Amino acid sequence: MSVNHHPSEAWLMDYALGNLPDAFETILTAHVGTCPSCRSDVALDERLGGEILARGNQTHAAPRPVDPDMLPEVDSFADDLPSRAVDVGANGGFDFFVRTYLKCSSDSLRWRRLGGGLQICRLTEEDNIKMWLLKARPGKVLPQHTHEGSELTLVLKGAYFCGEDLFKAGDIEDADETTYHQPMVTGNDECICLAATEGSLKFDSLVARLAQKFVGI
Amino acid sequence: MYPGSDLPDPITMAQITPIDSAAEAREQKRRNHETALLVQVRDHGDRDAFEHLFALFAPRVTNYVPSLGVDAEGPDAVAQDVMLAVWTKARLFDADKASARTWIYTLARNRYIDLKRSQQREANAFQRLQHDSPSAIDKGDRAANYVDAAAVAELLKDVPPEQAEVIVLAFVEGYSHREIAERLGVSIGTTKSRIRLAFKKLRERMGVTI
Repeated sequence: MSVNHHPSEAWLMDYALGNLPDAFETILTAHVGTCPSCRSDVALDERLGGEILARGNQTHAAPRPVDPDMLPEVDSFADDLPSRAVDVGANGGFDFFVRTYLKCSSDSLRWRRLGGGLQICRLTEEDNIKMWLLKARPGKVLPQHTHEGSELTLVLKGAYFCGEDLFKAGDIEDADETTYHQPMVTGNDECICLAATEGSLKFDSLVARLAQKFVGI
Repeated sequence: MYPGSDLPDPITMAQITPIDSAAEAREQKRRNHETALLVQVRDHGDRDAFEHLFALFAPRVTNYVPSLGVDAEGPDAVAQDVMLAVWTKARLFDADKASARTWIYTLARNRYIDLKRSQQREANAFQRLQHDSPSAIDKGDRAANYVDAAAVAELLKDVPPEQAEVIVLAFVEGYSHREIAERLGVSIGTTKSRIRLAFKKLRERMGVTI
């Protein structure tokens, strides 16, 4: 799987520093888990964070002696990287994603049908940031809309076009109040995405705005 | 948009004075010594070298990790955890990418972030049980309380002030890029672009001297 659309450096920086609300953190954790290039950027941001502390933390407290009992045997060396971005290998598919990052089984998700081949599943809402799943049938064109704040969308299955940009499984679409878009599902598979949205979506069409009142996205 | 508008004033670059080059050279010598110790630990499982590293860094890490609040491990326990990770993960240390000092502080920072976030999640879950609104990420423990601004300024000396400002707000003050845009009254696009340009410069520097 090759990822073509990555989160911006600003998002990766926020992620590396632990400065994000949970919904955005979840999406970025899932993306960097399968994206070596973003993991490498996160590791660099972490080193920069470490360096800033190293330069800034000028304490000269009295050293304490080492406790020899706390040292494990050499053969118990850990092999995981000292980074917040953990490599989970290749994209394990939708069920793997739900189990690993949403901590539940895909059977337990409560989907709501919106008609026209569109379903959503609301997951969390905290600090005015909603996290939700969206499932759309092949060929579905979503209503044109913009946002009140930031939005990250991670494609879990299938693919969609926004204008000329193709977003496939593993890709992230980074949108905000300046983005005006109309995703269109492409290919023969249904498309499932995880989105974290700050504030509400702002739709052009009256029908979409009415539907929005019922589903609360 | 994010909660937490009662934000203190950030460090401004004008308040910061540079470090002289002799002090910088002394620092570099100390760093090289620490790195040599960590390489000994990495390559030979050298307990004496680790003891030295422990004596040097355990107090600093203890100082960095602030009180984590109710039901938390104390700073001392966190420092022990971090130093244990220095021992167990030493073979992952790459001296071409970071000095021992940077590497150890990176471990400390990551450990601290994980603890902070997990505590925040527990606190929010508890508040939900009490039918209160969950609170935002706690900004009360930002790194600004622990770092010396002049030393950070040295790292950012080649970065234009408006770009350095966003780096300080993120790395020292603990704001997200969205919060920084709101705080500075600039667009989200401008903030992202300043971050991108600052990183470009910093990455060039990170590769050689840190």
